[in-house]
Amino acid sequence: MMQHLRRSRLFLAVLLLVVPTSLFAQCGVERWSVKTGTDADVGLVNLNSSTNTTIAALRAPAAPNPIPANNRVSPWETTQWVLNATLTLYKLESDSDYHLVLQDANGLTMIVEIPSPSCVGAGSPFLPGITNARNEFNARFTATTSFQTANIPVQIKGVGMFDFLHGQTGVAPNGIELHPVLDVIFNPGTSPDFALSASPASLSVTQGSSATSTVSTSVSNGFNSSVALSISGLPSGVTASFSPASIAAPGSGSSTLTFTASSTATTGTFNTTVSATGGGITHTTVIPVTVNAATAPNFTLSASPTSLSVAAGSSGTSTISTTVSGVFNSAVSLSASGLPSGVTAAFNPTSIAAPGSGSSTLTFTAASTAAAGTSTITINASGGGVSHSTTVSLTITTGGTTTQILGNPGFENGSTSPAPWTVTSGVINNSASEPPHSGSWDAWMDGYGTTHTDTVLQQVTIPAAATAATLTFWLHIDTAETSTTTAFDTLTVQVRNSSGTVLSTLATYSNLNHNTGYSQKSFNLLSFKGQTIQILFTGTEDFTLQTSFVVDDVNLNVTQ
Amino acid sequence: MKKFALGILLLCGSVTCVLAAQQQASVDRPAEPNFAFDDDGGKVQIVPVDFSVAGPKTFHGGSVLASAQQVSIFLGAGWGDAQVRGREASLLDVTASAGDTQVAELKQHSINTLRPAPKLEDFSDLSQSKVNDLTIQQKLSDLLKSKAIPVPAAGTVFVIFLAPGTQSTLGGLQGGVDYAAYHNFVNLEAGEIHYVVVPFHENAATHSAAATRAFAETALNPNGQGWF
Repeated sequence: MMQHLRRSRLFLAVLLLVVPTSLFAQCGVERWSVKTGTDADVGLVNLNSSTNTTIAALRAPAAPNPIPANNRVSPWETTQWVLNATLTLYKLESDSDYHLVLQDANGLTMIVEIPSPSCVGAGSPFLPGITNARNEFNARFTATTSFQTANIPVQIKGVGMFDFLHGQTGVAPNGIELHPVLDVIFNPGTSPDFALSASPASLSVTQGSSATSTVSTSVSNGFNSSVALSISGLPSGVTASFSPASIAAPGSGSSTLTFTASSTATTGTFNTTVSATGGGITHTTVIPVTVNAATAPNFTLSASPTSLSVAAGSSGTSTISTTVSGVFNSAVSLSASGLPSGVTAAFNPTSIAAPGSGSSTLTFTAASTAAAGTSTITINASGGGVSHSTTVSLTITTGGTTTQILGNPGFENGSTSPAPWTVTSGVINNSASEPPHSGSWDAWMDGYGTTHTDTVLQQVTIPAAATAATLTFWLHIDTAETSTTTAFDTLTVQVRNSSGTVLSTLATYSNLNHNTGYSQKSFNLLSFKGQTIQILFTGTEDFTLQTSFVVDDVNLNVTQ
Repeated sequence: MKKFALGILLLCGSVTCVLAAQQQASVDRPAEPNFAFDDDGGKVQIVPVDFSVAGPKTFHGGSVLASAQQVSIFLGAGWGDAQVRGREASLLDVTASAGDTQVAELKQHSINTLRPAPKLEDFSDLSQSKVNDLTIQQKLSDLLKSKAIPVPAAGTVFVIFLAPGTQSTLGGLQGGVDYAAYHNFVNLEAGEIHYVVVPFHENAATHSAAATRAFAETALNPNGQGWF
């Protein structure tokens, strides 16, 4: 008996090995993250609202060029559309999608596709809707690898997606599809039904506290049933309850959904799915819930630059920044101590307004009588019962006047005459894509998303009699890279001698340093006095995902 | 237990047969001759198994490549065999034969053929599964991400030579039965990628000629609306 059993098992195993693997689900490649909701921009799609449209309206916009591989084109790919049309053809593709061809009364066609749930990443907010649409379709039709005719009115809900034109059957001229489809209603307008929504559509809850959203239903076409509510996808340590637990017949009403997070609840963002079931119909909506750690109210304090030189009789600045954490919500007052004689410090603004994140420009003004020397200035910040301090090294120089010695410091000569800068093609920029720090022009290095290097160089002589020489510039970095650990694209700032030999690498920035707006950088070049040097910016980009390094208002202030 | 085993045999046998029959009967083909649907619904130009007779091409308004550079990828464990590997050298430049009608056609349309780039050998064992067009696209994506192959320029054509024992499929069609080679394109983060897939053929001359034809058709009809 056991021997027979073993043989049967062996036979089964052999049989499974010889079944063609093409029978098992295989998933697509091209824009697959966008098609299934695991792309970088999926958070821009609001699944709790939808917009009625037509095939003609969706076919109207020109196809974007280029079509981004892992990002969305707004509003077409960030909107949940509702479309009434006739389903004419359907087919199961090898990438496991159901390929549906829709047609309007004028014969215009477009494609909508329902992916297989097995090809959708677990973190996709589209997964419940895709599963729902797939089940709805399977209940009505059996898709095979050959086109079949349906000719049935449908109402399709789905998210827009521009596909690459490739001779697809029924494709719109601009390649737009609804991909994925999240809901299918056959013969719409005749069947009793209800709609489900939540407000707010997403929420945050802190460990040890709770938050609520109102779940609402509305009925149509004579729907008359109670609607039961349930939720799935809750993270560990979070509970949820509905009040009331169901909407009474005929099915229109609302319920308060309360999320309660324990003090040890798992932190992060989770897509919870609310299901509403009544009259044999189930609808779902996704509510992203972010669980925040309960942290003590606090803030951080920083200065940039942390050291600067000011000639007696002039002034210099450092930017003081604060960033709050936890539930900190208070104004932060600023002060400076340790100032040498003849030097004053002024903050603008004098305090950071509540909730306490922001920046203030600290201006040191040195009287003409101020003595030469270096002092450590302590910056104090306090608010909400919390105090922090940081330091700025201030050097006062005397006995001379300060002159800015770089030519065309703000690149305002334009792209046709960048001298005395030597730049690579396309760097000098006045487009609104990368606006300047001041004036009309800036130096925009890289930003192509392909292997590329841009340089910006100027040769200058620092007088031997200099008592201070400070290089400053304003830098803006934006990037499509998503890594928080790897510097794929870099900008180096170097000092070279007149032969091109690197004397010093002042700084290296990368995609990891991306920022909103500009920040000023400052470097002491006094050690190069008496030399003819080259100031060189080199932006290097790898083969994919752009990073733009934008430099403006480059000054070399020399005191002598 | 014998009855159980027999039942399983009959059940699985019929399922396999039904599915196989479904697959065979359900292969849609576009109206254009020598075209097929790929695995996500697009149209693909194939080189038929018997490509000895070919009519004149007509122009359908689309672009052609200004130049074409072959980047060979030898894919599959079968290329690891020394005797099979010996064939690689003859496939590294499929436009080497100036007398070939396909090569002449490229010249006629002023398409430059650039010196082939270095080859890549990937001896992954693919013999246990069918290699369809999605598998090829995923492999190209993986090779680009790992920088095993260069970022393609405008004229780059990746020519993927499948090893013996590797079964190629395309939207339900069978490599070696329904086609000798095909070409397609896919858009990845690195841009638009043009590629040719050439199933192994025992006859070296036929193998090479199919690759030449698919390579030339990639240059003449890169996106499905050129010369075909």
